[in-house]
Amino acid sequence: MCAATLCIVHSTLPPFWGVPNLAIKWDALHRDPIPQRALIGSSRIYRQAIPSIIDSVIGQGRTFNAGYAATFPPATYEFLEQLLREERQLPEEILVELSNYMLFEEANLEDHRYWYYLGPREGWGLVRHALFLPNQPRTERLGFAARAVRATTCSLLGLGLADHLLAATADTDTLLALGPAGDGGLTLETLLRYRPDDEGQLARRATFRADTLAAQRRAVGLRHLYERPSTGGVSLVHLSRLTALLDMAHSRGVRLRFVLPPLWIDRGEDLLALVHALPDGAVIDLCHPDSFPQFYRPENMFDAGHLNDRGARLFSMELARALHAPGHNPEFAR
Amino acid sequence: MLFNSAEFCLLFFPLVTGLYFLLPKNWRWLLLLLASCWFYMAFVPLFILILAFTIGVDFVAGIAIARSEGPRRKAYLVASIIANVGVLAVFKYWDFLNGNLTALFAGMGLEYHVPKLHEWTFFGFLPAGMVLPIGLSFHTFQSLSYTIEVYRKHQQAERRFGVFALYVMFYPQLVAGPIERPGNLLNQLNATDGHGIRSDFDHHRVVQGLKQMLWGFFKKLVIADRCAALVDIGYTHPAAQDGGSLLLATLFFAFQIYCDFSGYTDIALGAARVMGFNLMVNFRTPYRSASISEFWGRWHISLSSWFRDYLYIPLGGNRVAKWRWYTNLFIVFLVSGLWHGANWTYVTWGGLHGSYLVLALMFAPLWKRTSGASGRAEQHGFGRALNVLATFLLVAFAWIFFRASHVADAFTVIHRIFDPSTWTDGSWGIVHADPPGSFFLTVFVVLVFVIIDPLCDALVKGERHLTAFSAEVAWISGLLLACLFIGRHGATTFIYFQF
Repeated sequence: MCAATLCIVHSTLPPFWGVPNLAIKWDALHRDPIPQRALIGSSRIYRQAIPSIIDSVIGQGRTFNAGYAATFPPATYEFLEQLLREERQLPEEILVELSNYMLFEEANLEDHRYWYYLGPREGWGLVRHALFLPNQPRTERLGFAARAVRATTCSLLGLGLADHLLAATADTDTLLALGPAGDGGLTLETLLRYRPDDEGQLARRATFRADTLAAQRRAVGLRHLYERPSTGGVSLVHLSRLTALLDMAHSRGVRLRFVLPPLWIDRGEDLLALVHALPDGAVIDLCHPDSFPQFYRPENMFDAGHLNDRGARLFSMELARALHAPGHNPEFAR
Repeated sequence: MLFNSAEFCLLFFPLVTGLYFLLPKNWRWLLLLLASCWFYMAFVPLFILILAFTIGVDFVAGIAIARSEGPRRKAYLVASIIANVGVLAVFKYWDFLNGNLTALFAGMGLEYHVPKLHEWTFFGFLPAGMVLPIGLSFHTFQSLSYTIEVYRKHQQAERRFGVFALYVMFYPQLVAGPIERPGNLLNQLNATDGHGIRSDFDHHRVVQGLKQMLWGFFKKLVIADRCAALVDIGYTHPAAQDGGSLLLATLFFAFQIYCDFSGYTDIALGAARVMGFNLMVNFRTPYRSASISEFWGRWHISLSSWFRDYLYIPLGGNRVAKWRWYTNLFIVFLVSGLWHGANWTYVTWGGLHGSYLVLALMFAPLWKRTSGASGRAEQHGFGRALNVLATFLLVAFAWIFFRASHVADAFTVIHRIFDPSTWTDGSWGIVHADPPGSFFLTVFVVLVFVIIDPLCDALVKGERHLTAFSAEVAWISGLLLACLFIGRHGATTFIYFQF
């Protein structure tokens, strides 16, 4: 009876109920007219990719930004996969931020938004990914795997579901989700115009302004990462997940590409190994500090990990150019 | 290790219980002893030395008492009492005494400085800022009851150190009771069938035990921990709260402490029952009491009966002059308050309950005369309901002192509750607790609990049975799903662990 109830409860929960603003984006993405391009990812997409600029550079079609704060793989992959499974018209082109699988620190387990979507398959994928992670000591890997099991168990058993649903309902904010233009993009400076007392963002900006050399340090660190060849190998679990997504998109007639946005590469060595392992043309790399030095100038940055309005405009133009590049082969996805 | 932790539910309990039934009977006591040590050491490992000291002293004292007669017998008992109370005095009351002496000397313009306990590090063996050993008052009292019972010749001295250590350390009730008596638990540990601990795997008993544990988890996760979040809002800075929020916080605390403590007890009783041990019943729906004396017959029964047998009766009980009787009662409740914690808030709480009882006894003849022929009606129907409500409100009032951090805070709470002008100078913060709507959900689950508590309590104690299988399944599934969906899963500690 308990198992049956759990199944019923899980099946009645709306998609992405744990992050209500992401659920709003999910619904908006299904509203007619269906956009030609969709962007999926974390705040590095949500805060930095401005759909109107992308559209004006490309000159045709409509872009929708479905990125949202702290939305990392495998949540982004789940979002994409659910979208690709839909028996309806889909965007012609989807761009997904390339980042590492989110691994569970103790603090992640406290907040349901990081694990609410985990089912047996995603959970098992996370455990395998953690266990075979390159460049990590065994104790770390075991710790990540154990926390992934705990997170999946919490999700499957619906631990604290009532409070999570109450919190999710209270968190809903259409303006925050879709932005002033309704296209899903919301730069950090625009956010502060709507929420001038957002202490978290103000503090991050103040910290960066007090030490703008952080931008330079980040550029140096990333340059070093690009110059140093990866020795630890690639996460085969992650790679196979990405190739499966490419195949799935291809079978649905959708052009899927992964984007490496600037400023922030968590566990960069693993990520660059993945970039090298993916098929040619599958990744748009906008991160390299030598190719895109403008993203590492303090005047274009909001905080150490995000661009400001001006930086976001520059990023959106570069992204549009990369999409519109004459050499771009839409059939890269095998 | 907390009962409401994944570590206990998924590892410790299944492993220990499984091994318990798999092992040969004559090894079971050793398994339980080792498991109990592991359980206790999961908190602060070094504190097991204090427990070892108590166990060692009382084991030797028990044998010495049994072997002697006359004044020597009494001397061994006194030595045991001094050792046990000494441990309590050092680890629990030292700072309290010290603080009060410092204040007293300061009031007289004198300087007094003796280091506080948390400043001691015992030559580096203990971390600075150490906390009170968990469950100290519980196992000290349990151990003391053994030497007293041996002295009174109600109990034979235990000759096997391991079994005696297990009696004091039996993990289900080690840190928050029930405070067992040797006549119950020690005799069960000694009840062998020639091969070891007698209990065999009994499917019905195991299921009953698991049900009782589930009911305990429901009380802890769904009621106590939900209420705790609201109570904390009211009591963290009471001066900043409106009277309405403080009143609600106080009522929620009444349910929090009941469900936290009785939830722990149910898990303990259930876990012991699964392995074939029957621990003392500690609660009998206390908020259904129609008087304060009835309340104390239903609340923390193992402690009330301990004080009755080892303090109240030796003081003379009620077989003395009236003023002595009242004094005895008052002393017992003051000591009971002090047993809970080294803080004037607990002493005041105990004193308040003592006052309730003494006043009830003083006015009993007058009450009988005025109620006259309606005496029967008091036990049933509307009259009893009124008495139950009045008793609950008196108990809840006393809880203000129990929950407040300081006596001054308690008076702030009382002042703000009873001063209507304060009801409008706040924002009713408790109602707007995060996440929005959680206040109303908590009110709802508390109301449901009030309705189902008597039935569920009787069901888990085996006093009532559900005849229909479907009702049984619905009951268990309902509790389980409520624990999963509505419970708070942060593995918060139990209130009574600190005592």
